[in-house]
Amino acid sequence: MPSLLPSILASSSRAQQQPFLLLQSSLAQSCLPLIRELVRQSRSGAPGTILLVCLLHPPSALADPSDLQSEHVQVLDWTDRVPGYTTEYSDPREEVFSRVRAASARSLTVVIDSVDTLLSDIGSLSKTQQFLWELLSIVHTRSNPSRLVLHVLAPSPLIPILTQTKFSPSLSHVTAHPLALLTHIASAYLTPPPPSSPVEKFWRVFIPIAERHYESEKLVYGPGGEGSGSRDLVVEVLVRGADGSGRRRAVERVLEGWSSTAGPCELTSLESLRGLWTRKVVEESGPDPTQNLSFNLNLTPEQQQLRAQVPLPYAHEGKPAEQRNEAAQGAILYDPDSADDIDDDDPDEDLDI
Amino acid sequence: MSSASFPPARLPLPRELLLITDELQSPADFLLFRGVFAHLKDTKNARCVVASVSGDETIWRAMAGKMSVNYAQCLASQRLVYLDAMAHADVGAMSPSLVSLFRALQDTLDAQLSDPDAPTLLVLDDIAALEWMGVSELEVSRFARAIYALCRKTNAALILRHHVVTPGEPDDLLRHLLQLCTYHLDVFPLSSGRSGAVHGQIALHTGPGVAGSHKLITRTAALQYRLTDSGAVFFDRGTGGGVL
Repeated sequence: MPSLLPSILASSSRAQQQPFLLLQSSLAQSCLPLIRELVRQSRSGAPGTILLVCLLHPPSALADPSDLQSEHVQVLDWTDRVPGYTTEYSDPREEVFSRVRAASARSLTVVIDSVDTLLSDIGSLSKTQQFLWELLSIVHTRSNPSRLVLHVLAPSPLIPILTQTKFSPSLSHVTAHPLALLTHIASAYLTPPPPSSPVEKFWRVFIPIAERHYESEKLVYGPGGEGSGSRDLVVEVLVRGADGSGRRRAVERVLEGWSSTAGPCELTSLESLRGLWTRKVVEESGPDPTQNLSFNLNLTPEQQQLRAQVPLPYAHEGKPAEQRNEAAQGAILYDPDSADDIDDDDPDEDLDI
Repeated sequence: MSSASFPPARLPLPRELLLITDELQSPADFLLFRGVFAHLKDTKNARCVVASVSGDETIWRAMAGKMSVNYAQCLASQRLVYLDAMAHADVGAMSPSLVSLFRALQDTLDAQLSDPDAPTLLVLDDIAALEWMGVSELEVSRFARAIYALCRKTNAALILRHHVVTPGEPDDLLRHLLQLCTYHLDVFPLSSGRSGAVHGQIALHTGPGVAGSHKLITRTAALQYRLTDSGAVFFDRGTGGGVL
C-alpha cells in the first residue's frame, strides 16, 4: 500500500481533496520537521504560495533559511506579539484574514504554527474556533485549490473541535508519536506494530494508550527515558474523506515512519525499531536426556516388532467382545484356598445355625 | 559525544535559547558560571547580562575570581551587567506581573547593541522561582516568549535556568519552555544520589523543529560530572577512573 504521508506533504495535488491538514505534536514528540518538509516541497511542484504564520516558533524552526527567502514563502513572524508585553498588541485574527484575502490567485497554503498559542492569546475557545472556521471557509472558497495547515500541541481543547466532521468533512490528521511508545507496546503488551501483528489487534491496543498523553511523556521523560529531541519519529496518519483517485473512503488510519535523514519512510526501515521485526524463536525444549549416555536406550528392529505385538490392556475398553471365544458369559471362576471346606453335597453343612 | 569536548563551544549561538534544567540534588550553577565567564573570556568585546531572581551577587564575584575573570573590571566597563530581577519584578501586587522586569531587560539589551564582534549573552536565573513567587504560569510563559523574541531581535543569546521539582513529569511551565528552546541541557542526579566521585549526570537535547548541529546526548547515555573548585570535569559513564 503506498504510504500516505508523502502525498499529504506534497503540494497542490493533495490540496484539491484535502483542504485541511492538522499536525499534532505532543510533549513527547514534535512533528515540526513535517512542516519543514512541507515548505521544502512547495518549491518543487506546482507554483503556489505558502503563508507561514509564526506565533510561537521562530521561522528558523519551521523551515530552512533558503526556503524562507524564497519568493513563494511569505513569513509573518509574530513571535514578538505577546499580550501585555508588546506595546501595541493587536489581535492577529483580522490581519490573517486580510493577508489571506490579499494573497495572489495561485494556490495558497496557510500554515499556523501554533493554534494553542493562538487560543491562549485570544483567551476564548469559542472565538478561536470561530476564527479558524472562517479561515477555513476563506481558504476553501479560493479559486485555486488551497489548503489550511494547523499545528497543535496536545493536549489542547481545540483538538476535539478541529477533528469533528462539523468543522471540516475531509481531514488529514497527522500525529507524531515517540519511538519509545512502539517499543513499549511491543514489550509490555506483546503487540508489535504491523506487519508483525494483525492490524485490528494493534489498533485496539495502540489507540487507548496513545490517547493517554502522560503515558508517552512518562516513556520519554521518566526513569529510563531518553529525553526529548529524537529525530526519528512514528507518524499516525488519519485520512477522512475522498482521496486522489476519487474513491470515497470513510476513515483510513495508518502508522508510518519519519526518518531524520530520509524523511517519510516505512516503519520497518526505522533503525531504532529494527529489534521489533525480528521474531525471536524461544527454545521451549530443554536438553535431551537420552543423548550422551554410556548405555544404549534404543531398540533393535526385532525388539520393536515384539513390542508392537503386546496387546495394550485398556485399548479395547468399551467395545463388545466379538472376538472372544468364551462359552460361559459372566461365569464366576473360584479357586478355594486351604481354609475353605468345599462340600459339593451340602454346601451349608458347616454352618452352625 | 566525547567528554573532552563537552560542553560544546558554541552553545548557545546568538538568537538561540539554551534551557538548562536541574534538580535539587544536582544544581546546574556550574554551567551558568562556565557559560558566562567562558563567554566573557572568548571574545574581547563580548557582553553579558545576568538577571538573577533568587541568587546572590557575591557568589558570582567569587566564582569570577576562581575562573580568572576580573569581575570588577567587567562591571566597570559594562561588559557585565548584573541585574537583581526582584528589584524590577512586580510580585507584591494582587496580580503579579513581569512586564516591568521585561522592560528593564529590554532597556539593557537595547543599550548593549550586540553584533558579531561583540556578542551578547543574557542569562536568567531562574525562571521557576518567578512562578513560585506567585506569578501565574500564563504570565511566566508569556514573559519567556517575550524575552526570547527580544533576544532574537537584538541578536543576543539566551540562557534560561529552570528548576525541576517533579522529575519525570514536566510541569506546565516546563512544557512551554521545552517548546521554545533551541537546546536543552538536562542536569539530573544519579539514581542512587550524589556520590563522592560523581555529582550528577548531564544530557543534551534539541528543541522541537531544530535541525541542530551539536551532537546530542540522550539521558540513557548521559555524561557524568564532578564538581571542582573552578568548574566541573566531565567523563563518560564507567570511565571515572581517569579522573578519580
